[in-house]
Amino acid sequence: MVPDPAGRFPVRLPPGWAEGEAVDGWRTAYPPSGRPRPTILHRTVSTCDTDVAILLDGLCAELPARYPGLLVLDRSAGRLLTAHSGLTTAYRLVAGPGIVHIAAAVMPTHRYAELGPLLERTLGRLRVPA
Amino acid sequence: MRLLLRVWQGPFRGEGVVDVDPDGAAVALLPGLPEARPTTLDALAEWIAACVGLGPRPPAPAATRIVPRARIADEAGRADAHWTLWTDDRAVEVYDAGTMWLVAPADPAVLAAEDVDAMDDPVALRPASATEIWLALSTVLRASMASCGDDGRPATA
Repeated sequence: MVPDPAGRFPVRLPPGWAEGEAVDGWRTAYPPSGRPRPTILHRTVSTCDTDVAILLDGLCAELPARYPGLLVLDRSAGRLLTAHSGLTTAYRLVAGPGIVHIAAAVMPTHRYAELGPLLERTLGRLRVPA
Repeated sequence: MRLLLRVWQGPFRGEGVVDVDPDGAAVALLPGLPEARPTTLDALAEWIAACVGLGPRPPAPAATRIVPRARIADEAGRADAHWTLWTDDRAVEVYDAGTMWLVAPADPAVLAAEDVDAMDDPVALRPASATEIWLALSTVLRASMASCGDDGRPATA
């Protein structure tokens, strides 16, 4: 794990969202209200293997093993969608030289219809800093 | 509000019924469950996904097509899963034959334009990713608690 560089949050946040305290190595961002509040997270992982497809394979195996009952709902190039305990989580992975950026959006499942497309678009703007 | 689920084909076949309270609490009797169980709308979405085998599929290259309902299998292939979830004014129907298809009544304007208005019980088959199916499923569930606030309590409370 390498520390994230200080500075602007790695994805352009939706209007009204703001960065919060880092949690367990993840940068976090929240909207001003909502209970439970949806969250966007970001972290970087230093790795020799920056093949995103292989990393997604690992996540698809690791997450259900770590969280019994977790459903892997969908995956495609660089993205993953899971559901567990009433929360829907969208992941986006982007690789750079020796590093992988992981962004995730966590939201209550009953708000996926409202927030899912917005947060998926937000994660889709994740780029490796030049 | 009451939600109904019918699974013609899938890991667990049969009919289900879910009664939803305004606070998002629910009592669900779903295919595969021996008896009705208390739950929440959020957990219910996961139960339904497991019940119908929702999961990643290869990208769907096909375009939307209009077919008679009786010929869905001829057009889309044999179903691994086929199910519908509906409430008073919304429904989602999914036909999963490796490619997943959202099934909906065909738009009359499209029928007229394509000169297939004589087709018997025409439906539109639209290829969809699991994400789109999850969105459609969530939309139906969300509609069932439309009168509630973000925290599941009535918005006017």
